[in-house]
Amino acid sequence: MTATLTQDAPIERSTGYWAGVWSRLRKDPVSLACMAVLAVIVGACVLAPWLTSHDPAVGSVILRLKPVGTQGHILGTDELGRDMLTRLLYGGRTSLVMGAVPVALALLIGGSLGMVAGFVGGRVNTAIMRSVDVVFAFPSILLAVAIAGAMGAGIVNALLALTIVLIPPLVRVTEAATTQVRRLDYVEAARASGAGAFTILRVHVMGNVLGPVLVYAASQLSVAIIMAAGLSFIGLGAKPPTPEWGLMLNTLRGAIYSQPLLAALPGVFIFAVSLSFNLLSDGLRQAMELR
Amino acid sequence: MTPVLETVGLSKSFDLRSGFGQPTRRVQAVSGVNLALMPGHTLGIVGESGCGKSTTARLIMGLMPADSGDVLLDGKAVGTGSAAMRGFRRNVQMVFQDSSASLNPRLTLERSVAFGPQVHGLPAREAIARARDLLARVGLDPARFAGRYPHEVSGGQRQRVNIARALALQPRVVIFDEAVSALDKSVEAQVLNLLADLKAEFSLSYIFISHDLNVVRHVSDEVVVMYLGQVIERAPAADLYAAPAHPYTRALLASMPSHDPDRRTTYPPLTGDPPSPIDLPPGCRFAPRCPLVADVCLARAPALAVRGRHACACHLADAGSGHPQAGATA
Repeated sequence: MTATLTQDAPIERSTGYWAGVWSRLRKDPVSLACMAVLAVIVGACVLAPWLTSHDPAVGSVILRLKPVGTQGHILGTDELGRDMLTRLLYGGRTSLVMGAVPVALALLIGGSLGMVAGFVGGRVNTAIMRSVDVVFAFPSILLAVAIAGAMGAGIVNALLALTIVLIPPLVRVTEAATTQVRRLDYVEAARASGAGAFTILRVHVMGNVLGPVLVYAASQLSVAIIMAAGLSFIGLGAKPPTPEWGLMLNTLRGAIYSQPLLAALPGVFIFAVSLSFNLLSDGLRQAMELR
Repeated sequence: MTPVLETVGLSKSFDLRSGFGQPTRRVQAVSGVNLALMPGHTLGIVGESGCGKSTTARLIMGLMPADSGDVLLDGKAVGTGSAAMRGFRRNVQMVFQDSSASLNPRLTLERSVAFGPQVHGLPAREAIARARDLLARVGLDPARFAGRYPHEVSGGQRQRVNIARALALQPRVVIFDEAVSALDKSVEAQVLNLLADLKAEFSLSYIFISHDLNVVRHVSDEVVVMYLGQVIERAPAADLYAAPAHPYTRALLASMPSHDPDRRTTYPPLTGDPPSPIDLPPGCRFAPRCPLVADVCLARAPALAVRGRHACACHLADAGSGHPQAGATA
């Protein structure tokens, strides 16, 4: 064959799949707003040491529970006189990590397990899926509380508990998507061309499974942040004086009648972040649909 | 001459689990299929949907394991090991029916075509070069099409890509499983002409599976008729269409529309559906629908009797079978 004839000729390139998703996502105002909210909050949390002049752990007894708008403390101060804005930004670091790390770990572990279960099928599928069903039998927040409680309070233990709770649904979603893709002719054609199971998984299955799984993981991000805040609220996650949104909600509980706005602030942040992740995952799902 | 590809007694059945505690039932998808493809020939396989055509193709390709029987390449049995299978697949490739489902939506057309050669160790750059050459060869300008995604081209173009993909491993045999059935008639004709050209250029042999009798007659040297997982008639294409021996084949041909009033058959067309392939009764599988059914048909299954190059599995074709009309119509 004339191998050199067309080898270096320029060819028209279509926009790739992810570039197409991005351009569709960019046209959706809701997704755009969510991305803006998340960018501001996440950016501010990451840059907290440079944006704030206060120490999140040091307060002043004289300045306890100052309202929003106080000179020098834009968002007021908490029950120990610590600057609220500083605590919210530093707390966001803990809360976001406690939400994102379990989802990332569960995506890695659950995604791999689900892909193996869906691709291999048969007994392997039964073994993996039925083991996962055992975990499914418990309500997730209850299970997280039980695991975190058994292992003792602390951020690392809470992370592990959340990871364990998030794995089963991700296994299920990945398994369902893989089972669907596995039956398609292009996977058969890849087998017919002599490719091994691992190559087929890497080239043909992973890319087509990743979409729905990522959408689901994005929606789980909001669940994880809420659950992490919940664990901290009941004393199983972050421990004082570590700032964390759920924990702050708990410690400001006492001020709910004197400074309701102040007490609600950590909740507002939890709400904004989890709602944004949720809506963004919806927008992502729509943007991923090929016409 | 040795056939380039041969199957001996290929059989496959599926177990149906009807419910907990109930006995499992068995579907005979393919039973005892013998095929022989001569080098440079096209072997047509026809039959109604569900007759086991596609299962046969998948068994040959090793996409599902056969219960029994062998696939022979150049007269030598293909082993079951993965190395043997890889060698076999370099020689035998397949084009699927659904042109969109058989291309990965996330890969550009050139990468889909280049995938096979890369699996077999060709460096990426050379595999892409070969893919572009093949795309050009099947009538798709690489400059315009190589970087596109499957959903951006038409069904006919996609099927050309699938053909290019099958040819990328430089096989000697290509199996077409209803490969043109989903295309428009005009596109179908173009693709069939392309297939004829490619066959001559790359000295290929084809197995052409279709339910379209006209297309099969047009492309095939020899035609095999399948019914409920069995080969019931096998003959050179001209013979089969001129003098079908099996009542089922006659009925199939009678159902074929013809433009020529003189060519109109008076044979009664087929009625009803084929019986369920689950737990088949003894006797001829076509007996429940056969207009010429006799007692012997229900009692005993006819064997494939070879007369010259024409083989037929029907008691009518065997004078000693005990069928009252045996020998009269054959």
